[in-house]
Amino acid sequence: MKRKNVKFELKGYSTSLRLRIALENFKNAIWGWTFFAINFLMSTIGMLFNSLVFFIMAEYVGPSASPMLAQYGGDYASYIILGIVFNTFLSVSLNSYYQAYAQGYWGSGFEIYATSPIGVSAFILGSVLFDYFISSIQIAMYMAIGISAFNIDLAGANYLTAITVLLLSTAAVSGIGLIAASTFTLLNCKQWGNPVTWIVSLLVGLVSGVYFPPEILPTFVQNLSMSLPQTYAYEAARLAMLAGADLTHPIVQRNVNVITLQTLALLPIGIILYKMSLRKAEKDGALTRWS
Amino acid sequence: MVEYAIETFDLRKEFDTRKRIPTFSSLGQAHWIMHLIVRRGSHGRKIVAVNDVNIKVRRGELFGLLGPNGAGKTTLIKCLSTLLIPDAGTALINGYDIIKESERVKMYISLVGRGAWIGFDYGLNVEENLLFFAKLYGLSREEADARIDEAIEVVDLSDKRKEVPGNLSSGMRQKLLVAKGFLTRAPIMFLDEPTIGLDPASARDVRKHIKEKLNAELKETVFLTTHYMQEAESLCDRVAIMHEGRIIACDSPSTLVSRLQTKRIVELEALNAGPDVVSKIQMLDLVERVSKTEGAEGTLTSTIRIHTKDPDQVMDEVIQIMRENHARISAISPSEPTLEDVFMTLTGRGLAE
Repeated sequence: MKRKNVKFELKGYSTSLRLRIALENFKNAIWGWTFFAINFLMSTIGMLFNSLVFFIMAEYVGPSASPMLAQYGGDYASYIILGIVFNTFLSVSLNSYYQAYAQGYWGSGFEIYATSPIGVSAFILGSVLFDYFISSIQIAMYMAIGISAFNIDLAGANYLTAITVLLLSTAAVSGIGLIAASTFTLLNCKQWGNPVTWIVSLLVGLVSGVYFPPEILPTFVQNLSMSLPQTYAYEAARLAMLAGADLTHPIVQRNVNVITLQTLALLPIGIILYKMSLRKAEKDGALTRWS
Repeated sequence: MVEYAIETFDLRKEFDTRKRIPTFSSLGQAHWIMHLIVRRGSHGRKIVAVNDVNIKVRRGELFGLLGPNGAGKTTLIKCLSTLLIPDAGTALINGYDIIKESERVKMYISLVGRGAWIGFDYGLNVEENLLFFAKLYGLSREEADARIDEAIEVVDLSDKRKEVPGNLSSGMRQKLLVAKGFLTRAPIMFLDEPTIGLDPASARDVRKHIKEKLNAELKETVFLTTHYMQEAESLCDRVAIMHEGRIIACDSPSTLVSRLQTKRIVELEALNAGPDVVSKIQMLDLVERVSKTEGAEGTLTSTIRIHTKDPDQVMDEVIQIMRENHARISAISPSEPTLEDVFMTLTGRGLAE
């Protein structure tokens, strides 16, 4: 076979261009979100209703739960609002990669990216960034409601520790999210559902400490919760926000170490499986629906 | 500089027809997991979509791939444009290997696929969609604007610039797809049935742009698939005929047609000629092949093409058959062979079958 002799070269191979395109996709997604005014309105009202549910839970369930929340200051409203806030953010890491993959395939978004030098990963990154953006709005709303209606006291919060924990756990949960995305092709989970996020979401809601402390659960269920990065993240982040704990706090330190180990294990596995799934899609012709 | 823009080496792609893993939601979680464990229904067979294809397309050539539906044209174009990894063999695009250097290959190609929704963002209008596509290829705003203006004019979408794709008809979305492909000015352009779904005037403009602008002026190598013979004949320097995954002939349209010059073709304009008439003509000793093309919808007219070595003797018998079957002949004329005739001679079937 003869070798090449390059005469013409298109621009478009650099990492910075890929990031710019991911941001363009993010911008388009925001435009698409606001394009349908009804959807925009419904999602905003949905957030407000969710806040109302948590408000009622805090009002009626809170007093009986207070003794179990001593290390967090004993206030259930603060406990649940922060749980919801962190879970909203980490749910993006868990769900968005798969959702973006499915959206790229079913919405034919992959077609345009797959044949350009940019590749489909820029599409996925842009979509995931958009989900983080939406979840940030939700978080801001929950926090505003928490502070104004629930009187959450964040005067002594250690934001640096909380953000560190959140970023680290985002990396760990993104590993699970990438594993979930890989099932789209590897296990043919094409119809907006996959076993990985299904199982992890079930466990997170039940045992990780979003709504109540895992300590109240039977021992074998608590053991189950120890496999989830979310369990360690929620505990450490709450201690930082409600008790002002820093990274030298023994529980925070232990949890950060565990999350780091989980990141080191989950993220490479997620990336490898994600690449394998793209390779399989190219082999099977399942990257695009055009045939 | 490499001589060939596209060069394939025993390129092969098979698809497994065995039952795929069912979807997670369709079976229910428990059954899905059981299915994975037991793996029922995995027996099947392989379909060879592209069968050891070897073609060479010269730099600056306008090359056509002609074949009926299911011949493997789209699979081949997907392999060459790196959307699909072949099972065996490989190809060089501008000297780069489609398997080992797919990212480099993508920098030298532009692809116009099919499907009215391919890659469009429903929230962006025609102009913005094209601008976004231009950004994917790193075009500057000035370059992008100039090319968008030109592409929009070629496909006659000037009055739809501010419309979102959802407000366009399927034909207009196909035009938008074609316009998108005209933006990059990559040296090698793949077009998968670019004029399908277009009205005759737009199809003519698109063909003209491909031939005069992209190929003649910009010297782009154009690789297009089509099952319109006239398109292949009028546009292409060379045509490859693909049938059941194989390239069965490859040459200039005139050379391919000249191979049939020893044969004579008679064309009849007939009224009320049913399938019986065609099969009876086919059974005549001196008739090699008969094809029939129906006329306009709602009429009983049709065009019958008869391949024979002795038209004079055959025509007496044909007229007799027509009479017996209450069919009428409105015109008889000798005809030159077309690519359709070449295809029929090589495969024994018509492109539309």
